[in-house]
Amino acid sequence: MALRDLAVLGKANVKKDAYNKITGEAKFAADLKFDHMLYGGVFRSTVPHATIKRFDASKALALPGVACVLTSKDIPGGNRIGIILKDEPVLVDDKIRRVGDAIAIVAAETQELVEEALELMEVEYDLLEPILSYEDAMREDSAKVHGETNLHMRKHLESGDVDAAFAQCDVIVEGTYTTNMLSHMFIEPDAGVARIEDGVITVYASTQNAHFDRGEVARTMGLPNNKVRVVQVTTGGGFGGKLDISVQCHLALLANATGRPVKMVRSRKESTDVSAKRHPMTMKAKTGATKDGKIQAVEVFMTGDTGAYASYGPAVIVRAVVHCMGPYEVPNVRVDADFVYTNNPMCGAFRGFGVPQVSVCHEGQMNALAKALNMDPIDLRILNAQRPGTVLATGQVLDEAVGFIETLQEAKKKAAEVLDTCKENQGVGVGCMWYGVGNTGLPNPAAAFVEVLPDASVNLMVGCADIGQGSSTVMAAIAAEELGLSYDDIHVTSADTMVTPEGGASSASRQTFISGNATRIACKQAKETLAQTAANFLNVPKEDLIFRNRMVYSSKDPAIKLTYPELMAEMKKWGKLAVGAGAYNPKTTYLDAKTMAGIPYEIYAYGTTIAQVEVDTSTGEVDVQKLISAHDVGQAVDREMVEGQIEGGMVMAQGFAVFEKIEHEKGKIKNPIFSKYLIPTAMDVPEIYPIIVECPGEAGPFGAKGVGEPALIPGIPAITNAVENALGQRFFELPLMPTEVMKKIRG
Amino acid sequence: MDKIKISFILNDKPVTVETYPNKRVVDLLREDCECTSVKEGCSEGECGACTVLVNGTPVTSCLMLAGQIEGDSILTLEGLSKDGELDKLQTSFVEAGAVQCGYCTPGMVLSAKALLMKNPHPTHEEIRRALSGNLCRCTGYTKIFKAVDMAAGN
Ligand code: FES
Ligand code: FES
Repeated sequence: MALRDLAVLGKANVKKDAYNKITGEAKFAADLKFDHMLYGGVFRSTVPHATIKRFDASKALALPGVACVLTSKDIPGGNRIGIILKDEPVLVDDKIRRVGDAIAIVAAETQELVEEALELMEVEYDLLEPILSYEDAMREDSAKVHGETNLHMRKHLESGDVDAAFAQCDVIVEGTYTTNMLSHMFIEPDAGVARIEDGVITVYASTQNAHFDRGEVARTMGLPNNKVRVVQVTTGGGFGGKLDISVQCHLALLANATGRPVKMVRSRKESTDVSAKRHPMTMKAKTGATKDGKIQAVEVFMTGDTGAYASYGPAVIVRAVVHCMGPYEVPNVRVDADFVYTNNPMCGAFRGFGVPQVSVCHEGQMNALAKALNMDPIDLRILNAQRPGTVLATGQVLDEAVGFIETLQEAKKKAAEVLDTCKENQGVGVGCMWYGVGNTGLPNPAAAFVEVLPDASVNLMVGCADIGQGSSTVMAAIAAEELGLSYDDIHVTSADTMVTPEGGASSASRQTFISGNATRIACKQAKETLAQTAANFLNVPKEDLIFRNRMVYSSKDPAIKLTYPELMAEMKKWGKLAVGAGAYNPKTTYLDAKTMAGIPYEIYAYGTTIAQVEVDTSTGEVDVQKLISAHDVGQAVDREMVEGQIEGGMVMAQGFAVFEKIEHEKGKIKNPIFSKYLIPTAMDVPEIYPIIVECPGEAGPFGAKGVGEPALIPGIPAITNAVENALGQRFFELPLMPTEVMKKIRG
Repeated sequence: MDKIKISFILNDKPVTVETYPNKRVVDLLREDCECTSVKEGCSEGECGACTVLVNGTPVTSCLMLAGQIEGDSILTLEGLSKDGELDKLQTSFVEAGAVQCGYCTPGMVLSAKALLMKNPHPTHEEIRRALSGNLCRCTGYTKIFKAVDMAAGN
């Protein structure tokens, strides 16, 4: 595709939130303060599965300064929440399903009093058999976490004739891969404040989806949606962990009961204990190819533990199934997947929705296949790579916006430039990924409102939450490009349900694509009026007009022009307003219930990482030294921000591959704090070489796709494969803990 | 426990606060001094979000008690810009794209400030070491290193 002639996109702009954050003025939820504000806290279960025999808060209530204690009986509306399935109680009613379930909430004059009140509450349990593994869950006679079965979800995807294809294959490789439970460890623990103003319950929260929160709070409170306002305040990272309801409903209940503002700030431990985790998964895979390396068939069986509540589990399983053969042309595919409920910590969305897990599997398989065929791993991938026109296992035919091969080629080129010749115990590995942008085979619209003001400055209102990834910056750049104004002309208001329209979740790498398209559509609508007015004034057909760099001019004769301020004066003269409302829903279809055929996503992002590592064979420690990561982002809206996503993703990949793991026992997390759950520090960071590949297509705004999750994924298998390359041993379980590495070294 | 009066220098201005001697400095600064740039991420001295400079040295204010800062000079992010003019480190963080969610930023900038006050032209290794107590989950640190390099004129 020819290079696009863009005025704003593709440059580096100062992030919209940068100055507030760099001066310390930005207010996060815990920084908010209101007059007469109370503090809130949650009394939580310490057992994984039980009914409550007795709960007694009388001592807490007798404490001076305690305003109220609420239990499930005090909920005015419904007592079930959840992103996809409503299976989680706001406050426990029938039974406890996990350690950390909320039994009661308290509001008091100070945080210290809250802690004291929680200490004074008493509970007695009738214990039930805890279900703590997939095997436990699937036993016929096991206790049930919800309803009649612990099988939370079963999925099957089938295309072609897998058995016949395997019978014809020259080479078949097999492997069973396991990934563990992980924690997001965003640095800001969940927090919020609620208050009642003019009959509306307003919740200020650290969240990735204000509009979802609004619906949950409204249902809990038995209120219409427009009597609840959720404002996403500056949010200290999310990575999927702030998509579920955290403090929102509890705060609304407490503010409603006391008539006073209430603030809740979770401790690190509480935040890690009860926010969703990454699903641990086991994937058994079989891949068959011809002797010249063409993949003929892939079969995968995977299991996952979604924990006590579904959260985003249904989205994770579906996405994992659709992506588990990797970014390759595979004519015959069969995938079966089972996710179960257990009494373990709740698992949900975490950057990549299951695709990071399955990337370990498909790239492990590609590595094994390359070895079996004695082929170069990059050549093997290029030979099988998805490309324009590829037919996916779902039957979807890819359009021209497939830049996978380019990412392989660019990464390879860079590797030749920057990687060192491997010494003993050093290794190089490749990892690839594809990622469908937006929700899987489901409607997931977003909207935007825009108004060009009389001085040619712009108010843009979008529902999408900027959690630091920079969506407001992206929306401003897209609006500026479309309207022909400058980036600084655009003011963005985001994720305030009383002001902005629905944006959906800041997840699934969907906001650049979906809210970006909505923004562009809104701007086009406003531009319609502007163009008509300019055309009348300049006496040229409106189709000939170009809006660019704060000017409007004729494409036939650039001398026929007017400036934006002149145009706005003209608009005023004729009583015209430049407003627009845009909405966009990706062009997908629901997937077939039996075979999962259909169009799961409108567009796909691609990426390739090449890693170089060195293993210390005396300790088993893996030193990740260099990561080259090339990503097809369609069109970079802001190059520096894309690089920032890639660098952040690569370092998170390092944690995933080498040392992060939630340890849990009897449903209880043993390492919920930073001294026990280690994440990469400044000392660990490898040299990172981000490469931006642009293969735009027509679907995204100016061709843009999304990069938030793609930035993480290929780093994980690349590091794993590099360790295998260094030691000449295969690894089937992540993270590659030193003890495990030592076991392999010692044989 | 009785409240005591604690006097110290906060962002170049002398202040006196009446508080409990066992109040954590992070709470004292956030609640009594309106310095909400001081963040709390772990409460156990591990994440560095609560970093402030005490007499030029970075400390985790979640592990320090009010009684310990009598007479000290404390710098928070609020005090880094002078008369509305951003410190070189602040502008370089913005220019380098080193700010994503921003929750680690105040602590990160102050750790970097302490480094540059002692060592105006640090090596890459020295920058890493100086920032090793400040966790960032968003950026992968790379642009943060670049920002410190820029501010140091490296
Ligand atoms: S809050 Fe003090 S170091 Fe984390
Ligand atoms: S920018 Fe989010 S933690 Fe550093």
